[in-house]
Amino acid sequence: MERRDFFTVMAGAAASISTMQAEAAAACLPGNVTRAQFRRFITDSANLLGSDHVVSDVDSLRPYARSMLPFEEAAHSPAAVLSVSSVDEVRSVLALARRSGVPLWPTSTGRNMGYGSMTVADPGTVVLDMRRMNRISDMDPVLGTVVVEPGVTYKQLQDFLKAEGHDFWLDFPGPGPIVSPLGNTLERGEGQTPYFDHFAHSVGYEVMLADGTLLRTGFGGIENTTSWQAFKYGYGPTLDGIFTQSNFGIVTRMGIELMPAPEAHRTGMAVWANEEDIAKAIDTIRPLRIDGTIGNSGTVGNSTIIASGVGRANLYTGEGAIPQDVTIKWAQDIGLGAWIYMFSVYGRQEKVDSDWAHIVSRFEASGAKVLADIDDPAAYNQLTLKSFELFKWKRSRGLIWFSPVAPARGEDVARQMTLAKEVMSRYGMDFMTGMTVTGRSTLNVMPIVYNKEDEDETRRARECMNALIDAFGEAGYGIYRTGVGFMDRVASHHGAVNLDVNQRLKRALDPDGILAPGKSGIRTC
Amino acid sequence: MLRIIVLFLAAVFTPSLSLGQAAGDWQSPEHIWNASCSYCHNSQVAPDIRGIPFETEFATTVVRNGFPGMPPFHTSEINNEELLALLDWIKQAEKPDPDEQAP
Ligand SMILES: Cc1cc2nc3c(=O)[nH]c(=O)nc-3n(C[C@H](O)[C@H](O)[C@H](O)COP(=O)(O)OP(=O)(O)OC[C@H]3O[C@@H](n4cnc5c(N)ncnc54)[C@H](O)[C@@H]3O)c2cc1C
Repeated sequence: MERRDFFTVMAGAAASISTMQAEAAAACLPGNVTRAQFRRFITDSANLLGSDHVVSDVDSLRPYARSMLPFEEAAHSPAAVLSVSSVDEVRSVLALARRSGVPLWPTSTGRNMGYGSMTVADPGTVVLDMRRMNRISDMDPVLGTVVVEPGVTYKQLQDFLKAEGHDFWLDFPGPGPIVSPLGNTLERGEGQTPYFDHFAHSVGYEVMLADGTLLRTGFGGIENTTSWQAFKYGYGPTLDGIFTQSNFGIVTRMGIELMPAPEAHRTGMAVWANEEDIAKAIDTIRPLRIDGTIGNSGTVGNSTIIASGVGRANLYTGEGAIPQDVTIKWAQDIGLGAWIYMFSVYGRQEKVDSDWAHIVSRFEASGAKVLADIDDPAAYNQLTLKSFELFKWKRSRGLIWFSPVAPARGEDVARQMTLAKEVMSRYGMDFMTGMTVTGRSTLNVMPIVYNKEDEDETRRARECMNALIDAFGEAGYGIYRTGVGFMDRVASHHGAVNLDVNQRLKRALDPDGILAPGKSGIRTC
Repeated sequence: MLRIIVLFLAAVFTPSLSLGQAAGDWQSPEHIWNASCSYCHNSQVAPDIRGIPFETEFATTVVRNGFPGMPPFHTSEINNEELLALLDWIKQAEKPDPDEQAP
């Protein structure tokens, strides 16, 4: 058999297998797509990518429909998953999607855990899995920048920097080793070093629009550009932001600013004993963050989140939400208190020493005690998955992040705490928070940990999240980020004009609505 | 001359090719263990499973579908062949030294 014939036969075989698979998946087709159109789309995708890289039968799709969110799997299951390995393949898949009307949801490493993982907003959308696009390029050791594709993980990037002998640090989110800098940045995720704001430290995006146009933001459009990763803003409107938490394009590459390893660093923990100390704590932390004395955002945690690794059943077996007093008592018994703040200082040794002394005196003046030299691996470039201890609380896979933002004023943060506790206890959900103090704002990231195997608890978790979104929206607070199934509700609290402008941008850049319909509540109509 | 070219190509291409964490990129089962599994299973976040004679079918279901506290690992990340080799490696690995702690 000639080589060409061999490939034709193989493609035919792949196509017929995929057609059978597509039949099986027909239960959840995208909105306006007929069965025949979807079948053709799957067949063409398999011919293009190879049938190994197309998942469309119900059984193989099931793991992709799994998420930690409190929804039935069918409600947010992708109709298929296509795994691409290059920009050319992305362009070709887009052409197929436009022709058939099948929408695509791009993911990088697809670990948006607690926000939907690899599930989609509107059922029937097909996931475009970009994990196999994992090249690292354009390392600039002088400026400290590098370019990554979506499938590069923090671990891969750290290994690369070490292998090349570069003395730069990375900033990673909780699940660092197994997630993507690009995926995390597109969600405007956060970490634990001075470079905690990942969007702020991204520079120069390569984006494929729905029509196949390849845009490079910033100075990336200049022929023979010298400064793509050196200057973020470009000329004219700065576009990077419109590709985050959005569905206006598929990001195929992104520049990252790397943090030079500091000469010295030190991590401590401030502890406030009582529940009502939260306003005092925030008012003490804020000025130290705004003037840069505390180098990272750090995390303010309540006693219940600190206790998560101990397991709820070891602390409380009563009805309803765990009373805060129970975990506060547990924390006090081990030398902690109602609130802790993990913070770090960085720089030359003299600076670290003098900043440290200043911080300790401020915290002690506010009534806190300070524990010195705490080990917080993520604050100094050590990858860890210790944050997964959160799941030990209920030994379950149910997790929703409720992530409102407060101005970094004691009274606002205290008000959010009261509001959250009131709503959560109504639904029998335990109140936990791990706040990122960015400076002028506080990302009040509250995990709702629930037992997904329990139908009633799952329903309560869902209703609790909806009630929290409404209560905080009505109180004038916005939300930093949310998961599929909650996006429309969150969008409805951020202004009708804001949503309308997003939809207009959507119609201009993706008139057929091919990309991630429903992401952040944005659709073509 | 050929040797120089080969060395040069190795220098240019080795890093991102050898350290990728997607299906087909893994260098060995141990590489998968060190880059992913060990962050929980050798760090007291989850039980250390090395040297335990578990059922391959059960373990495959757990890896593909996830488990309370463990996310699923899909075929674009670890293909079926790589997963089987990994599970064999874990089963045959020496039982961990209780004092050993990972990354
Ligand atoms: C215990 C625990 C702790 C966590 N801690 C943190 C933390 O500290 N900080 C934090 O930020 N998050 C945290 N997370 C949430 C989440 O796991 C991370 O944010 C993770 O980085 C997101 O997954 P990912 O990187 O695989 O992105 P993906 O899941 O690949 O992408 C996320 C979303 O971005 C969009 N997207 C992705 N790629 C593209 C693309 N190429 N083009 C266009 N759009 C795209 C899609 O809408 C996608 O759904 C935590 C989760 C858990 C369970």
